[in-house]
Amino acid sequence: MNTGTGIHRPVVRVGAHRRGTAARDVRYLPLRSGSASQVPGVPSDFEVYARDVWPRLVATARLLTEDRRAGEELARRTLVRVCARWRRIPRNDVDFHVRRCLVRGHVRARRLGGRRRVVLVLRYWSGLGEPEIAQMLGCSVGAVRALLRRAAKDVAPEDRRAGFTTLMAGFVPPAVPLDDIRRDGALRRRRRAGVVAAGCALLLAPPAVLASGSLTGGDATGAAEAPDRAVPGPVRIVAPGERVAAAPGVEVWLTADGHHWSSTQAPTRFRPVSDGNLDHGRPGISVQGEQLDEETYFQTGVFYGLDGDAARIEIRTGGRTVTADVLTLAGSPGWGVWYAKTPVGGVGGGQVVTVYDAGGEVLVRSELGPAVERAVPVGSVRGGTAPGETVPVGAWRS
Amino acid sequence: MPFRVRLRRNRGRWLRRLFIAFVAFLAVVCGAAVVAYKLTVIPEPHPETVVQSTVFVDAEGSYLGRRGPVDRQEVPLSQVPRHVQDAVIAAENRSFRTDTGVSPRAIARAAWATVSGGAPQGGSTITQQYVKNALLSPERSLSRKAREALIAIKLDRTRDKDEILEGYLNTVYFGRGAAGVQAAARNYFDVAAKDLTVSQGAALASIVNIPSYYEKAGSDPKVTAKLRHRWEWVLDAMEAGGSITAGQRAEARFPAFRFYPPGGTEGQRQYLIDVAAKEAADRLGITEDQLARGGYTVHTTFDLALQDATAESAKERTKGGSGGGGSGGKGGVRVHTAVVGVEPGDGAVRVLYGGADYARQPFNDAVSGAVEAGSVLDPFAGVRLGGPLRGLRDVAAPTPLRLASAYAAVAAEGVHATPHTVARITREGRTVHTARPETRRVLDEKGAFVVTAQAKGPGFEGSSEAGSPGVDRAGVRDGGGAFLTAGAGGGITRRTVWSVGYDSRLTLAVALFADRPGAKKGTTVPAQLPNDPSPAGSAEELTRQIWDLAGGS
Repeated sequence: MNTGTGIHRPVVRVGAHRRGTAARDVRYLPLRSGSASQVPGVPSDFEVYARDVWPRLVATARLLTEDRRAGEELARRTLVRVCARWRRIPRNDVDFHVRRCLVRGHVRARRLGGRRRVVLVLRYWSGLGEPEIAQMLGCSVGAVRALLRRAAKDVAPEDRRAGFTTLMAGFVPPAVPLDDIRRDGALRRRRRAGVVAAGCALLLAPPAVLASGSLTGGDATGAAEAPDRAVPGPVRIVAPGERVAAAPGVEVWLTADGHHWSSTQAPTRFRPVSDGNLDHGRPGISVQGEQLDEETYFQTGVFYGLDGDAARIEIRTGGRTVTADVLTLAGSPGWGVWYAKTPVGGVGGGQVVTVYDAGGEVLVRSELGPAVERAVPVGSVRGGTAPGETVPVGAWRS
Repeated sequence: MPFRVRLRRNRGRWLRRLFIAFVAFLAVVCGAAVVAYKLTVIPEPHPETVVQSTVFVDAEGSYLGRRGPVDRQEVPLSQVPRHVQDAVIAAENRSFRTDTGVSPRAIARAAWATVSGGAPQGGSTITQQYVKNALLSPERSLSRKAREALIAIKLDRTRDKDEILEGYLNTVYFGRGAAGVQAAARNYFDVAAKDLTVSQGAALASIVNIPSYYEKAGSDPKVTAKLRHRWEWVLDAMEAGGSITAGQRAEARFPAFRFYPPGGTEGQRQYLIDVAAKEAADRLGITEDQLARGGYTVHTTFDLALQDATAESAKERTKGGSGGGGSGGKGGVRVHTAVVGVEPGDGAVRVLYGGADYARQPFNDAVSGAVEAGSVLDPFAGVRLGGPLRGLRDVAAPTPLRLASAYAAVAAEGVHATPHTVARITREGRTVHTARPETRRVLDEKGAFVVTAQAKGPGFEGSSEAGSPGVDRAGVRDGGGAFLTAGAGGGITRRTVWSVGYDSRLTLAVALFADRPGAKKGTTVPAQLPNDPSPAGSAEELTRQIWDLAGGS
């Protein structure tokens, strides 16, 4: 890719390794950084080669173009091209590549009919074999043979050979316009380098943009920031009438009109919230409870009139803090139910039930005497809330 | 000539041949793709995804239950809040509004994530997922994948984005057995899709990724934490995409969920659904099976809170009455309670209690149980009954529903309304049926007055043990209403007890009767009501409670 001056072909590779046994007689010195002429007096291998090949090149070009000036121009252009890509021409096959460059230049110049002339000149003037001609033209050997056969019908090969010799009799090759070739070659090389660089850039730019875009997109899919808020307790939405097994033998459920719970000791208890006996304008929380077994109390209650949505309810009793489960109906009805199992040992001291919102702010706090010391009447009927069953709580705004 | 030299000389030719072959190959592939695209037909949604369930709600819109093989209900896109749509797009396919049905970038990113070992991402667009879920059968192969992409492109070119999104939201699986956003909203938050908040919408959108894992959200702390993480990510994406403001983002709080599996409900509701489903199918002129698969929403006339309270009261009473479980008593006598509450003049059934547990007794006593009338029809003596009530006096054992409708006609000053349990039936947001009261005058106003006067007369004042429940009810006493207790048999040979209360707002009929296992297995024969506590008092007490709960005067 890089045709600039930066990369040098190693001497060993060109001089020895590449050539191997197939090396021709002519040994060319490796080109040094494309500016060997900077050392005056020491001709670079291109110059040596150019001087060497020029007469043959001009002659062939003269025959191809059938015109003296055009032939000279074609030969010059060919050498300019060769000069531009001199470093990439394999050293053990220089003649072939230079000749192919000439042929291509000619065929490119005259689109049609050029190939026939090329085949004839290469076969009968330069004396190349059919396979080599085919390689030069990039076609099959058969195609070359067919061309030659057809041409032989018009003019016999011997006559053709003689015709070429007559045509070239007395041909004196002009002097090599070396400086000219050198300058144009360097220009051509630079221009080509520029084109290649621009092409690469055009090719690589869209994928690069895409990749960087998708990379940043990928970053967006990465980790969200760690939750810095208080971990919420379990808040559960329940459908009206959905039974929640709160503790062994205890079921809690909510209906639109209030809080129900049943246990083994009493069939159903009910705490209405929508019958007007609760002041929903002020935050409040109620506590009810009963002893489940030797070690645990079951406590439950209603909270209402909060400023925000309850996210966590804690019961602090006897030096221990228990997180309550919270039940609420769908659609923020403004009240909810909590329940928890608390240890019996904590009942001696006062207990505090605190409702927090998602940000950890206290929404309402209740401080009570030990709720469970108030006896829960067993078998109290639904609808008629027995006195003492529900403990009205003085509520404080936080 | 050395091989290497020959190869080098012919390199151009080989490259040219290769290039031509490549171009030809490309042309063939493109041609095949074009032909395949032209030949692709967008398939009809396959039968499994067309099936919907029918949902029953009460008068307030509370969820009663559903019928149908899958939990899915379609909603028009207009009933899905914009922020829920945006959340799903942000979570699943951000370029949905602009892409062409497939997203090469997403596929490349998914491939890259798989290769580089990052978090596995799906490369499917919403269109592709919709095609996969709703249109194709669930097999997995490469050719199916290609077909899916072709259909996705074709779908995208022939249909509106909103149409595709609607189809997707209505079919995508959200876990908990729920497909579609409507069923998901109910299963996760117990709300309708149109009432979802920003937080809830983002949570649902997060769940779509791995529904079978996230369905335990709420009850499993680990799952909840992971879902919360994804929820934050979805919200951030929504904010970045401009769907929500920074303020909305800051205010968003991780929502609370229903748990899965949900807690049990009272074994009652199936009775209500049975009755309502039968009626709804009749009204629409389709079979109950068609109804169950049709995706209807049946708005019933029931008052769920009152119904639950009734069930609760009846259960307690039965327990107290026959000593546990309602099945105790002497000789396996089982006391049955049937309660019907009807709105006079309209016929809307508010309460229908026909048995304690559907699993044990699917037969609905209140609708189809024939309960010996005894003296409860005596107040109708001497008045002429017409229309649907013709011959009522001759029926020895009317159903509680029929009796309630008869007294409702009296309460409505002689206008009989056929009892109905279905108020409205909607489907995909459109109302397909609205119930109108079928009213007919069955007795003149004078007749109604006579019946009320006779009901207030002696003999119906209830049993001596429990005072008349209507005594202290001024409104009932003075107005056109009455409370009466009657029944068949007397004293300790009570066979049935009826307790009826009515005024212009509600007619309530409570029937108590008993049976015991018959001689043959699986049969029952009527039995006498247990005497302790007094069945009449019990029925009156129940009537009083329900009357109070219904906000009676």
